[in-house]
Amino acid sequence: MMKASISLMDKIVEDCAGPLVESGYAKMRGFSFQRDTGENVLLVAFQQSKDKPLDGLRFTVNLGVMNKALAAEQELSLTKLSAFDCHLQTRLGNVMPCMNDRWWVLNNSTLIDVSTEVVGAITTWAVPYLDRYKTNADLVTLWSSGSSPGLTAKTRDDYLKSLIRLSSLAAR
Amino acid sequence: MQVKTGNVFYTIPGSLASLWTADTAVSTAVTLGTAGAGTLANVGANVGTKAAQVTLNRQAGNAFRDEIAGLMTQMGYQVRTEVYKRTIFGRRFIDIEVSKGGTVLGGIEAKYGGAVYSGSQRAKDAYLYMMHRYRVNVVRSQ
Repeated sequence: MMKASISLMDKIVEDCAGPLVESGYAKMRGFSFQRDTGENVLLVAFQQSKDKPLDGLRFTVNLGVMNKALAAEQELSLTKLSAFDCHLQTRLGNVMPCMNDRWWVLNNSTLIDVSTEVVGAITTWAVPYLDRYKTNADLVTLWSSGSSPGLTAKTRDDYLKSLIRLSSLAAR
Repeated sequence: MQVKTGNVFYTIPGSLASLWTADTAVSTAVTLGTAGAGTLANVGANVGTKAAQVTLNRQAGNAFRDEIAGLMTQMGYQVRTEVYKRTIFGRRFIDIEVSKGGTVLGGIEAKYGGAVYSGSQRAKDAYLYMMHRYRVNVVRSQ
C-alpha cells in the first residue's frame, strides 16, 4: 500500500514537472521544485498529509518565496529549502479561484482527474502568482501593503525593515 | 479578552470567536460541534483492538480539526491545515494556521478527547510567540 502510494505521488510530481521545468523550475530533492530569479528563489513543494486515508493519500501543494538577502542574514540554506522557511508562504488552493486550503485525495481511481486538475492549477495559477515575486522590490511592495501570506504582522515588519536595510547596503 | 499563548478554550457556542479578539467583526453565532457531533460519536463506536482505538482516535481528532477549520473559514478567516514551523526546540506542527487579510494571526491546536498539550509543545509555542507574535491557542472537544 505504501509503495503504491509513493508511486502515485511520484506520478503526480512527474506530471507537474513538465510545465514547471518549462517555466524555469528545477527538480530538487523530495517532491519540490525551485526557480532562482536572482534575488529570490521560488518554490513549489508537494506535502503529504499526516492523515492516511485507507483509500490512498492526501496531499497539498505549498508555494513559497525565499529572499536570498534575508536568507543569508538568517543563515538559511538555499539548497535545502523548505516551504516553512520561506518569506512568503501560501498554498496552491489559496491562489486558485476557490481561495481555499485544498487537499487532494490520491488513489488509483482519482489519479487522472487529480493530475489534470493539479497540473492545470500549477500552470494557470501557481506559476503566474510566484512570478509576481522575483525581486526584493516585489516583496517590499507586498509587505508595505500590509499583506504577508504566511507571516505574522510582527515578522513581516521585521523582514521589511531588514530587506530595505540590506537593499540599501547593496545599492551603495 | 486578552488572548495569550497557551490559552485553553472549550468548544462551547461562540468560543471560537474569542480566539482572535483583534477583529471585532467576528460572528459569535457559530456553534461548534453541532454538525460533526454525530460523526465524531460514530467514529468512536464499536472499538475493537488497541490499534483500532488509536486509529479511531486519530480519525476523530482529524475530523475535529477539520470541523474547526471549516468554522473559521465560515467566519471569514483564511486557514491552512498541517503547517510546519521552525523553532529552536525543533519543528512545530500546527493543526490550523489562521490568517485575516493576508496576514497570519496564529495557530490553533485542536485537542480531541483527553489529548495532552505537552511541555514540548508549550516550549515551541512560547518561542513562536516571543519571536513572531504567533499565538497558538488550544481548542478542546470537551
